[in-house]
Amino acid sequence: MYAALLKNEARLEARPLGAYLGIALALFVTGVAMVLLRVPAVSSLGFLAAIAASILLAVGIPLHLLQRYYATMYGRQGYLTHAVPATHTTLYAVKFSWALVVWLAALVLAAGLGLLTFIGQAIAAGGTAADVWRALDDAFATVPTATRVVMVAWLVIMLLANIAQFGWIVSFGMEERFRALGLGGPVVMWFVSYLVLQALSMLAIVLIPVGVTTDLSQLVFASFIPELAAAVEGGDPSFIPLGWLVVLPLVLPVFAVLTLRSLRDHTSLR
Amino acid sequence: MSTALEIRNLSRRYGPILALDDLSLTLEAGRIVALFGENGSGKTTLLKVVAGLLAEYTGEVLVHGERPGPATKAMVSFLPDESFLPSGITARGAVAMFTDFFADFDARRATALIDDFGIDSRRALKTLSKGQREKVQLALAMSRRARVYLLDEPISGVDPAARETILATILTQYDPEALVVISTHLIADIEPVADAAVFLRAGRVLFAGDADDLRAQQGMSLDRLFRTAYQTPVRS
Repeated sequence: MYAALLKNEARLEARPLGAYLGIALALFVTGVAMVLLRVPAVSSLGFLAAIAASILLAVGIPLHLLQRYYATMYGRQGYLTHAVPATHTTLYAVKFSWALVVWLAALVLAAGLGLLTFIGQAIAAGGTAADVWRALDDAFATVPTATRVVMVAWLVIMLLANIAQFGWIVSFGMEERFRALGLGGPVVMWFVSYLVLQALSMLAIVLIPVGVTTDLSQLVFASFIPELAAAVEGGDPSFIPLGWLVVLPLVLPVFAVLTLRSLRDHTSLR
Repeated sequence: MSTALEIRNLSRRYGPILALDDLSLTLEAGRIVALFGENGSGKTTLLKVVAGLLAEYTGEVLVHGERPGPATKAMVSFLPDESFLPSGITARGAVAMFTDFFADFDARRATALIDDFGIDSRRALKTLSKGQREKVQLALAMSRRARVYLLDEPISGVDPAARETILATILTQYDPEALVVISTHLIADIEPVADAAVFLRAGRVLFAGDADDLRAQQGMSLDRLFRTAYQTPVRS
Protein backbone atom coordinates (compact mmCIF):
# COMPACT_ATOMS: atom_id res chain seq x y z
CA MET A 1 0.00 0.00 0.00
CA TYR A 2 2.97 2.32 0.65
CA ALA A 3 3.99 2.17 -3.03
CA ALA A 4 0.40 2.69 -4.24
CA LEU A 5 -0.12 5.71 -2.00
CA LEU A 6 3.24 7.21 -2.95
CA LYS A 7 2.55 6.68 -6.66
CA ASN A 8 -0.77 8.52 -6.35
CA GLU A 9 0.81 11.29 -4.31
CA ALA A 10 3.27 11.81 -7.17
CA ARG A 11 0.53 11.57 -9.79
CA LEU A 12 -1.70 14.14 -8.08
CA GLU A 13 1.15 16.46 -7.23
CA ALA A 14 2.88 16.50 -10.62
CA ARG A 15 0.80 19.39 -11.92
CA PRO A 16 0.92 21.79 -8.94
CA LEU A 17 4.61 21.15 -8.36
CA GLY A 18 5.23 21.56 -12.09
CA ALA A 19 3.49 24.95 -11.86
CA TYR A 20 5.80 26.03 -9.03
CA LEU A 21 8.81 24.89 -11.04
CA GLY A 22 7.59 26.64 -14.19
CA ILE A 23 7.01 29.94 -12.40
CA ALA A 24 10.39 29.71 -10.64
CA LEU A 25 12.25 28.98 -13.88
CA ALA A 26 10.41 31.78 -15.69
CA LEU A 27 11.34 34.21 -12.91
CA PHE A 28 14.93 33.00 -12.93
CA VAL A 29 15.42 33.18 -16.71
CA THR A 30 13.77 36.61 -16.93
CA GLY A 31 15.74 37.84 -13.94
CA VAL A 32 19.15 36.66 -15.16
CA ALA A 33 18.44 38.03 -18.65
CA MET A 34 17.68 41.42 -17.05
CA VAL A 35 20.91 41.20 -14.99
CA LEU A 36 22.93 40.50 -18.13
CA LEU A 37 21.49 43.62 -19.82
CA ARG A 38 23.84 45.62 -17.55
CA VAL A 39 21.35 48.49 -17.20
CA PRO A 40 21.67 49.50 -13.51
CA ALA A 41 18.00 49.69 -12.42
CA VAL A 42 16.90 46.84 -14.70
CA SER A 43 19.79 44.63 -13.55
CA SER A 44 18.92 45.22 -9.89
CA LEU A 45 15.28 44.32 -10.52
CA GLY A 46 16.40 41.26 -12.47
CA PHE A 47 18.63 40.17 -9.61
CA LEU A 48 15.69 40.42 -7.21
CA ALA A 49 13.47 38.44 -9.61
CA ALA A 50 16.07 35.68 -9.94
CA ILE A 51 16.51 35.49 -6.17
CA ALA A 52 12.69 35.40 -5.80
CA ALA A 53 12.75 32.20 -7.91
CA SER A 54 14.95 30.52 -5.29
CA ILE A 55 12.78 31.82 -2.44
CA LEU A 56 9.65 30.54 -4.18
CA LEU A 57 11.14 27.06 -4.34
CA ALA A 58 12.68 27.03 -0.86
CA VAL A 59 9.68 28.54 0.95
CA GLY A 60 6.68 28.13 -1.37
CA ILE A 61 7.12 24.37 -1.86
CA PRO A 62 7.16 23.50 1.88
CA LEU A 63 4.11 25.71 2.42
CA HIS A 64 2.39 23.89 -0.43
CA LEU A 65 3.33 20.54 1.15
CA LEU A 66 1.89 21.71 4.46
CA GLN A 67 -1.38 22.74 2.80
CA ARG A 68 -1.48 19.44 0.93
CA TYR A 69 -0.97 17.46 4.15
CA TYR A 70 -3.91 19.28 5.72
CA ALA A 71 -6.16 18.90 2.65
CA THR A 72 -5.51 15.19 2.13
CA MET A 73 -5.58 14.19 5.78
CA TYR A 74 -8.18 16.47 7.34
CA GLY A 75 -9.93 18.26 4.48
CA ARG A 76 -12.50 16.70 2.16
CA GLN A 77 -9.89 14.46 0.53
CA GLY A 78 -9.25 13.03 3.98
CA TYR A 79 -12.43 10.98 3.49
CA LEU A 80 -10.61 9.04 0.79
CA THR A 81 -7.20 8.97 2.51
CA HIS A 82 -8.62 7.50 5.72
CA ALA A 83 -10.91 5.08 3.87
CA VAL A 84 -7.91 3.40 2.24
CA PRO A 85 -7.01 0.13 3.99
CA ALA A 86 -3.64 1.34 5.22
CA THR A 87 -2.32 1.71 8.76
CA HIS A 88 -1.73 5.14 10.24
CA THR A 89 2.00 4.36 10.12
CA THR A 90 1.86 3.74 6.38
CA LEU A 91 -0.09 6.94 5.76
CA TYR A 92 2.46 8.91 7.79
CA ALA A 93 5.43 7.22 6.13
CA VAL A 94 4.08 8.15 2.69
CA LYS A 95 3.48 11.77 3.63
CA PHE A 96 6.87 12.04 5.34
CA SER A 97 8.93 10.49 2.56
CA TRP A 98 7.11 12.44 -0.14
CA ALA A 99 7.70 15.71 1.71
CA LEU A 100 11.37 14.83 2.22
CA VAL A 101 12.00 14.08 -1.45
CA VAL A 102 10.13 17.13 -2.75
CA TRP A 103 11.47 19.61 -0.20
CA LEU A 104 15.05 18.36 -0.62
CA ALA A 105 14.77 18.62 -4.41
CA ALA A 106 13.32 22.13 -4.04
CA LEU A 107 16.19 23.20 -1.77
CA VAL A 108 18.86 21.79 -4.09
CA LEU A 109 17.21 23.50 -7.04
CA ALA A 110 16.86 26.76 -5.10
CA ALA A 111 20.54 26.65 -4.17
CA GLY A 112 21.49 25.88 -7.77
CA LEU A 113 19.43 28.76 -9.15
CA GLY A 114 20.82 31.06 -6.45
CA LEU A 115 24.36 30.14 -7.43
CA LEU A 116 23.63 30.68 -11.11
CA THR A 117 22.11 34.07 -10.25
CA PHE A 118 25.34 35.15 -8.54
CA ILE A 119 27.37 33.82 -11.48
CA GLY A 120 25.15 35.85 -13.82
CA GLN A 121 25.71 38.93 -11.73
CA ALA A 122 29.48 38.34 -11.68
CA ILE A 123 29.52 38.04 -15.49
CA ALA A 124 27.43 41.19 -15.83
CA ALA A 125 29.98 42.98 -13.64
CA GLY A 126 32.80 41.89 -15.99
CA GLY A 127 33.94 38.90 -13.95
CA THR A 128 33.66 35.17 -14.51
CA ALA A 129 32.01 32.15 -12.90
CA ALA A 130 35.36 31.35 -11.32
CA ASP A 131 35.09 34.51 -9.22
CA VAL A 132 31.96 33.15 -7.54
CA TRP A 133 33.61 29.77 -6.88
CA ARG A 134 36.65 31.54 -5.46
CA ALA A 135 34.48 33.62 -3.13
CA LEU A 136 32.78 30.44 -1.91
CA ASP A 137 36.13 28.74 -1.43
CA ASP A 138 37.42 31.69 0.56
CA ALA A 139 34.35 31.69 2.80
CA PHE A 140 34.89 28.06 3.77
CA ALA A 141 38.71 27.95 3.58
CA THR A 142 39.25 27.96 7.33
CA VAL A 143 36.38 25.56 8.07
CA PRO A 144 37.72 22.06 8.81
CA THR A 145 36.26 19.08 6.96
CA ALA A 146 34.67 17.73 10.17
CA THR A 147 32.81 21.01 10.67
CA ARG A 148 31.62 20.92 7.06
CA VAL A 149 30.30 17.39 7.60
CA VAL A 150 28.52 18.50 10.77
CA MET A 151 26.98 21.45 8.90
CA VAL A 152 25.63 19.23 6.12
CA ALA A 153 24.36 16.61 8.60
CA TRP A 154 22.65 19.30 10.62
CA LEU A 155 20.95 20.70 7.49
CA VAL A 156 19.53 17.21 6.79
CA ILE A 157 18.38 16.84 10.39
CA MET A 158 16.82 20.29 10.28
CA LEU A 159 14.89 19.28 7.17
CA LEU A 160 13.67 16.04 8.78
CA ALA A 161 12.75 17.84 12.00
CA ASN A 162 10.84 20.53 10.12
CA ILE A 163 8.82 17.91 8.27
CA ALA A 164 8.08 16.12 11.55
CA GLN A 165 7.12 19.43 13.19
CA PHE A 166 4.82 20.42 10.32
CA GLY A 167 3.10 17.02 10.48
CA TRP A 168 2.60 17.37 14.21
CA ILE A 169 1.20 20.91 14.16
CA VAL A 170 -1.48 19.86 11.65
CA SER A 171 -2.33 16.43 13.11
CA PHE A 172 -2.33 17.57 16.73
CA GLY A 173 -4.05 20.87 15.91
CA MET A 174 -6.84 19.02 14.09
CA GLU A 175 -7.67 16.71 16.99
CA GLU A 176 -11.20 16.74 18.33
CA ARG A 177 -10.23 18.67 21.46
CA PHE A 178 -9.25 21.67 19.29
CA ARG A 179 -12.30 21.40 17.05
CA ALA A 180 -13.64 24.78 18.13
CA LEU A 181 -10.47 26.47 16.86
CA GLY A 182 -10.91 25.19 13.29
CA LEU A 183 -7.80 25.97 11.25
CA GLY A 184 -6.61 27.99 14.25
CA GLY A 185 -5.69 24.66 15.89
CA PRO A 186 -2.61 24.07 13.71
CA VAL A 187 -1.69 27.78 13.93
CA VAL A 188 -1.73 27.63 17.75
CA MET A 189 0.33 24.41 17.64
CA TRP A 190 2.88 26.11 15.44
CA PHE A 191 3.32 28.87 18.02
CA VAL A 192 3.50 26.31 20.82
CA SER A 193 6.13 24.22 19.05
CA TYR A 194 8.11 27.35 18.12
CA LEU A 195 8.18 28.56 21.72
CA VAL A 196 9.09 25.10 23.03
CA LEU A 197 11.93 24.77 20.51
CA GLN A 198 13.24 28.23 21.41
CA ALA A 199 13.15 27.42 25.12
CA LEU A 200 14.86 24.05 24.61
CA SER A 201 17.55 25.63 22.44
CA MET A 202 18.26 28.27 25.07
CA LEU A 203 18.41 25.62 27.75
CA ALA A 204 20.81 23.50 25.68
CA ILE A 205 23.06 26.51 25.04
CA VAL A 206 23.29 27.16 28.77
CA LEU A 207 23.64 23.55 29.89
CA ILE A 208 25.87 21.98 27.20
CA PRO A 209 29.42 23.43 27.30
CA VAL A 210 30.28 23.05 23.61
CA GLY A 211 30.94 25.75 21.03
CA VAL A 212 33.06 26.71 18.07
CA THR A 213 35.37 29.64 17.44
CA THR A 214 33.87 32.48 15.42
CA ASP A 215 35.90 31.47 12.33
CA LEU A 216 34.47 27.93 12.70
CA SER A 217 38.01 26.49 12.84
CA GLN A 218 38.11 24.99 16.36
CA LEU A 219 35.80 23.41 18.88
CA VAL A 220 35.57 25.02 22.30
CA PHE A 221 34.58 23.07 25.42
CA ALA A 222 33.48 25.75 27.84
CA SER A 223 30.29 27.02 29.40
CA PHE A 224 28.54 29.76 27.50
CA ILE A 225 27.12 31.35 30.66
CA PRO A 226 30.08 33.73 31.22
CA GLU A 227 29.87 34.69 27.54
CA LEU A 228 26.17 35.48 27.96
CA ALA A 229 26.96 37.60 31.01
CA ALA A 230 29.61 39.44 29.02
CA ALA A 231 27.19 39.93 26.15
CA VAL A 232 24.63 41.47 28.53
CA GLU A 233 27.29 44.03 29.52
CA GLY A 234 27.95 44.88 25.89
CA GLY A 235 30.86 42.56 25.16
CA ASP A 236 31.17 40.20 22.19
CA PRO A 237 31.10 36.44 22.84
CA SER A 238 34.44 34.78 22.06
CA PHE A 239 32.83 31.66 20.60
CA ILE A 240 29.56 30.43 19.12
CA PRO A 241 27.60 28.01 21.34
CA LEU A 242 26.66 24.68 19.76
CA GLY A 243 24.56 23.09 22.49
CA TRP A 244 21.37 23.97 20.60
CA LEU A 245 22.39 21.53 17.85
CA VAL A 246 21.14 18.62 19.96
CA VAL A 247 17.57 19.94 20.14
CA LEU A 248 16.35 19.05 16.65
CA PRO A 249 17.68 15.45 16.62
CA LEU A 250 15.99 14.95 19.99
CA VAL A 251 12.62 16.47 19.12
CA LEU A 252 12.40 14.83 15.70
CA PRO A 253 11.34 11.39 16.98
CA VAL A 254 9.10 13.03 19.59
CA PHE A 255 7.19 14.91 16.88
CA ALA A 256 6.94 11.72 14.79
CA VAL A 257 5.64 9.59 17.68
CA LEU A 258 3.11 12.23 18.76
CA THR A 259 1.87 12.59 15.17
CA LEU A 260 1.45 8.82 14.85
CA ARG A 261 -0.50 8.80 18.10
CA SER A 262 -2.73 11.60 16.83
CA LEU A 263 -3.41 9.69 13.61
CA ARG A 264 -4.14 6.41 15.40
CA ASP A 265 -6.16 7.61 18.38
CA HIS A 266 -7.52 11.03 17.55
CA THR A 267 -8.34 11.23 13.85
CA SER A 268 -11.59 13.13 13.63
CA LEU A 269 -12.74 14.20 10.20
CA ARG A 270 -15.12 17.14 10.34
CA MET B 1 -27.62 -14.65 7.53
CA SER B 2 -24.48 -13.44 9.30
CA THR B 3 -24.09 -10.32 11.36
CA ALA B 4 -22.36 -7.66 9.30
CA LEU B 5 -22.39 -4.85 11.80
CA GLU B 6 -22.63 -4.98 15.56
CA ILE B 7 -22.67 -1.82 17.63
CA ARG B 8 -22.86 -1.83 21.41
CA ASN B 9 -23.26 1.21 23.65
CA LEU B 10 -21.68 3.56 21.15
CA SER B 11 -21.29 7.16 22.25
CA ARG B 12 -19.55 9.99 20.48
CA ARG B 13 -19.26 13.62 21.50
CA TYR B 14 -18.48 16.78 19.59
CA GLY B 15 -17.43 18.99 22.47
CA PRO B 16 -20.52 19.45 24.66
CA ILE B 17 -22.82 17.85 22.07
CA LEU B 18 -23.55 14.15 22.37
CA ALA B 19 -23.87 13.06 18.73
CA LEU B 20 -24.30 9.35 19.51
CA ASP B 21 -25.77 8.42 22.86
CA ASP B 22 -25.23 4.84 24.03
CA LEU B 23 -26.42 3.50 20.70
CA SER B 24 -26.71 -0.25 20.16
CA LEU B 25 -27.60 -1.84 16.84
CA THR B 26 -27.13 -5.09 14.97
CA LEU B 27 -27.44 -5.30 11.19
CA GLU B 28 -27.40 -8.47 9.13
CA ALA B 29 -25.58 -9.03 5.86
CA GLY B 30 -27.58 -9.20 2.63
CA ARG B 31 -29.96 -6.38 3.50
CA ILE B 32 -30.61 -2.84 2.38
CA VAL B 33 -31.04 -0.74 5.50
CA ALA B 34 -32.43 2.78 5.40
CA LEU B 35 -30.93 5.03 8.06
CA PHE B 36 -33.41 7.80 8.79
CA GLY B 37 -33.22 10.82 11.04
CA GLU B 38 -33.48 14.58 10.96
CA ASN B 39 -30.40 16.80 10.65
CA GLY B 40 -28.11 16.33 13.63
CA SER B 41 -29.62 12.98 14.61
CA GLY B 42 -26.23 11.24 14.33
CA LYS B 43 -26.54 9.48 10.94
CA THR B 44 -23.30 10.80 9.47
CA THR B 45 -21.41 10.38 12.74
CA LEU B 46 -22.52 6.76 12.95
CA LEU B 47 -21.39 6.04 9.38
CA LYS B 48 -18.05 7.79 9.96
CA VAL B 49 -17.36 5.71 13.06
CA VAL B 50 -18.17 2.48 11.23
CA ALA B 51 -16.05 3.57 8.25
CA GLY B 52 -13.11 4.18 10.58
CA LEU B 53 -12.93 7.94 10.09
CA LEU B 54 -13.63 8.92 13.68
CA ALA B 55 -11.32 7.43 16.26
CA GLU B 56 -12.60 8.91 19.49
CA TYR B 57 -15.70 7.08 20.68
CA THR B 58 -16.76 4.84 23.51
CA GLY B 59 -18.51 1.50 23.13
CA GLU B 60 -17.87 -1.27 20.68
CA VAL B 61 -18.16 -1.35 16.90
CA LEU B 62 -17.56 -4.58 15.00
CA VAL B 63 -17.70 -4.94 11.22
CA HIS B 64 -17.82 -8.64 10.43
CA GLY B 65 -16.22 -9.18 13.83
CA GLU B 66 -13.40 -6.63 13.36
CA ARG B 67 -12.96 -3.23 14.97
CA PRO B 68 -12.73 -0.33 12.49
CA GLY B 69 -9.21 -0.27 11.03
CA PRO B 70 -7.32 -1.29 7.92
CA ALA B 71 -8.97 -4.75 7.88
CA THR B 72 -12.52 -3.32 7.90
CA LYS B 73 -11.62 -0.57 5.45
CA ALA B 74 -10.72 -3.31 2.98
CA MET B 75 -14.33 -4.56 3.13
CA VAL B 76 -16.28 -1.32 3.69
CA SER B 77 -17.13 0.95 0.80
CA PHE B 78 -17.96 4.36 2.21
CA LEU B 79 -19.59 7.08 0.13
CA PRO B 80 -19.41 10.29 2.17
CA ASP B 81 -21.66 13.27 1.72
CA GLU B 82 -18.64 15.25 0.51
CA SER B 83 -16.64 15.67 -2.70
CA PHE B 84 -13.73 13.56 -1.53
CA LEU B 85 -11.87 13.36 -4.84
CA PRO B 86 -9.23 15.92 -5.86
CA SER B 87 -10.98 18.44 -8.12
CA GLY B 88 -8.21 18.42 -10.74
CA ILE B 89 -8.41 14.69 -11.34
CA THR B 90 -10.41 13.13 -14.20
CA ALA B 91 -12.92 10.31 -13.72
CA ARG B 92 -10.42 8.05 -15.48
CA GLY B 93 -7.72 9.13 -13.04
CA ALA B 94 -10.06 8.43 -10.13
CA VAL B 95 -10.69 4.92 -11.45
CA ALA B 96 -6.92 4.33 -11.66
CA MET B 97 -6.55 5.59 -8.08
CA PHE B 98 -9.27 3.27 -6.74
CA THR B 99 -7.65 0.37 -8.62
CA ASP B 100 -4.44 1.04 -6.70
CA PHE B 101 -6.13 1.46 -3.33
CA PHE B 102 -8.82 -1.19 -3.18
CA ALA B 103 -8.22 -4.85 -4.02
CA ASP B 104 -11.97 -5.42 -4.43
CA PHE B 105 -12.40 -2.61 -6.96
CA ASP B 106 -13.69 -3.48 -10.43
CA ALA B 107 -12.28 -0.84 -12.78
CA ARG B 108 -14.17 -2.14 -15.81
CA ARG B 109 -17.46 -1.89 -13.99
CA ALA B 110 -16.70 1.65 -12.78
CA THR B 111 -15.75 2.77 -16.29
CA ALA B 112 -18.94 1.25 -17.71
CA LEU B 113 -21.06 2.99 -15.06
CA ILE B 114 -19.42 6.36 -15.69
CA ASP B 115 -20.05 5.87 -19.43
CA ASP B 116 -23.67 4.91 -18.72
CA PHE B 117 -24.08 8.15 -16.79
CA GLY B 118 -22.98 9.96 -19.96
CA ILE B 119 -19.94 11.47 -18.26
CA ASP B 120 -16.79 12.12 -20.28
CA SER B 121 -14.14 10.33 -18.20
CA ARG B 122 -11.37 12.54 -19.64
CA ARG B 123 -12.81 15.72 -18.14
CA ALA B 124 -11.50 17.05 -14.84
CA LEU B 125 -14.03 16.64 -12.04
CA LYS B 126 -14.01 20.39 -11.39
CA THR B 127 -15.54 20.92 -14.85
CA LEU B 128 -18.46 18.57 -14.08
CA SER B 129 -21.75 19.54 -12.46
CA LYS B 130 -22.42 18.64 -8.81
CA GLY B 131 -24.75 15.85 -9.87
CA GLN B 132 -22.17 14.44 -12.30
CA ARG B 133 -19.45 14.49 -9.64
CA GLU B 134 -21.76 12.67 -7.25
CA LYS B 135 -22.44 10.06 -9.91
CA VAL B 136 -18.71 9.53 -10.44
CA GLN B 137 -18.24 9.04 -6.69
CA LEU B 138 -21.19 6.66 -6.57
CA ALA B 139 -19.81 4.67 -9.52
CA LEU B 140 -16.50 4.32 -7.68
CA ALA B 141 -18.11 3.31 -4.38
CA MET B 142 -20.49 0.80 -5.97
CA SER B 143 -17.77 -0.76 -8.14
CA ARG B 144 -16.11 -2.26 -5.09
CA ARG B 145 -17.03 -5.85 -4.24
CA ALA B 146 -17.47 -4.71 -0.67
CA ARG B 147 -19.12 -6.61 2.16
CA VAL B 148 -20.56 -3.42 3.62
CA TYR B 149 -21.64 -0.30 1.73
CA LEU B 150 -22.16 2.87 3.74
CA LEU B 151 -23.85 5.51 1.61
CA ASP B 152 -24.28 8.89 3.27
CA GLU B 153 -27.05 10.93 1.67
CA PRO B 154 -26.40 9.58 -1.84
CA ILE B 155 -29.60 11.07 -3.27
CA SER B 156 -29.82 14.43 -1.57
CA GLY B 157 -28.98 17.54 -3.53
CA VAL B 158 -29.73 16.04 -6.94
CA ASP B 159 -32.81 16.32 -9.11
CA PRO B 160 -35.50 13.58 -9.05
CA ALA B 161 -34.32 12.07 -12.34
CA ALA B 162 -30.77 11.77 -11.05
CA ARG B 163 -32.15 10.33 -7.81
CA GLU B 164 -33.80 7.53 -9.75
CA THR B 165 -30.60 6.81 -11.66
CA ILE B 166 -28.55 6.75 -8.46
CA LEU B 167 -30.99 4.45 -6.69
CA ALA B 168 -31.14 2.15 -9.70
CA THR B 169 -27.33 2.04 -9.73
CA ILE B 170 -27.21 1.11 -6.06
CA LEU B 171 -29.81 -1.61 -6.50
CA THR B 172 -28.24 -3.16 -9.57
CA GLN B 173 -24.61 -2.92 -8.52
CA TYR B 174 -24.42 -4.00 -4.90
CA ASP B 175 -23.44 -7.50 -3.95
CA PRO B 176 -26.61 -9.26 -2.66
CA GLU B 177 -24.54 -10.82 0.12
CA ALA B 178 -23.46 -7.39 1.34
CA LEU B 179 -25.01 -5.02 3.85
CA VAL B 180 -26.05 -1.71 2.32
CA VAL B 181 -26.76 1.20 4.68
CA ILE B 182 -28.28 4.24 3.03
CA SER B 183 -28.56 7.36 5.14
CA THR B 184 -31.19 9.85 4.01
CA HIS B 185 -34.08 12.01 5.02
CA LEU B 186 -35.79 11.45 1.66
CA ILE B 187 -37.83 8.55 2.99
CA ALA B 188 -40.33 8.27 0.16
CA ASP B 189 -37.54 7.54 -2.33
CA ILE B 190 -35.88 4.87 -0.24
CA GLU B 191 -38.90 3.18 1.37
CA PRO B 192 -39.78 0.97 -1.63
CA VAL B 193 -36.30 -0.59 -1.71
CA ALA B 194 -35.42 -0.84 1.97
CA ASP B 195 -35.49 -4.26 3.68
CA ALA B 196 -35.04 -2.70 7.08
CA ALA B 197 -35.00 0.74 8.64
CA VAL B 198 -33.29 2.46 11.53
CA PHE B 199 -34.69 5.75 12.82
CA LEU B 200 -32.23 7.85 14.79
CA ARG B 201 -33.06 10.73 17.05
CA ALA B 202 -30.59 12.72 19.18
CA GLY B 203 -28.00 9.99 18.77
CA ARG B 204 -30.29 7.16 19.89
CA VAL B 205 -32.27 4.52 18.05
CA LEU B 206 -35.90 5.54 17.96
CA PHE B 207 -37.15 2.57 15.92
CA ALA B 208 -35.27 -0.22 14.20
CA GLY B 209 -36.35 -3.37 12.46
CA ASP B 210 -37.58 -5.04 9.35
CA ALA B 211 -39.38 -2.51 7.13
CA ASP B 212 -42.55 -4.65 6.84
CA ASP B 213 -42.61 -5.30 10.59
CA LEU B 214 -42.25 -1.60 11.36
CA ARG B 215 -45.10 -0.74 8.99
CA ALA B 216 -47.30 -3.45 10.56
CA GLN B 217 -46.45 -2.51 14.16
CA GLN B 218 -46.97 1.21 13.66
CA GLY B 219 -49.85 0.87 11.21
CA MET B 220 -48.41 3.34 8.78
CA SER B 221 -45.80 3.73 6.05
CA LEU B 222 -42.21 4.54 7.00
CA ASP B 223 -42.68 7.94 5.41
CA ARG B 224 -45.73 8.61 7.60
CA LEU B 225 -43.93 7.20 10.63
CA PHE B 226 -41.03 9.59 10.06
CA ARG B 227 -43.35 12.59 9.77
CA THR B 228 -45.18 11.58 12.95
CA ALA B 229 -42.13 10.68 15.01
CA TYR B 230 -40.12 13.77 14.15
CA GLN B 231 -42.95 16.27 14.49
CA THR B 232 -41.95 17.38 17.97
CA PRO B 233 -38.59 19.10 18.27
CA VAL B 234 -35.76 17.49 20.24
CA ARG B 235 -35.21 19.00 23.67
CA SER B 236 -31.56 19.93 24.11
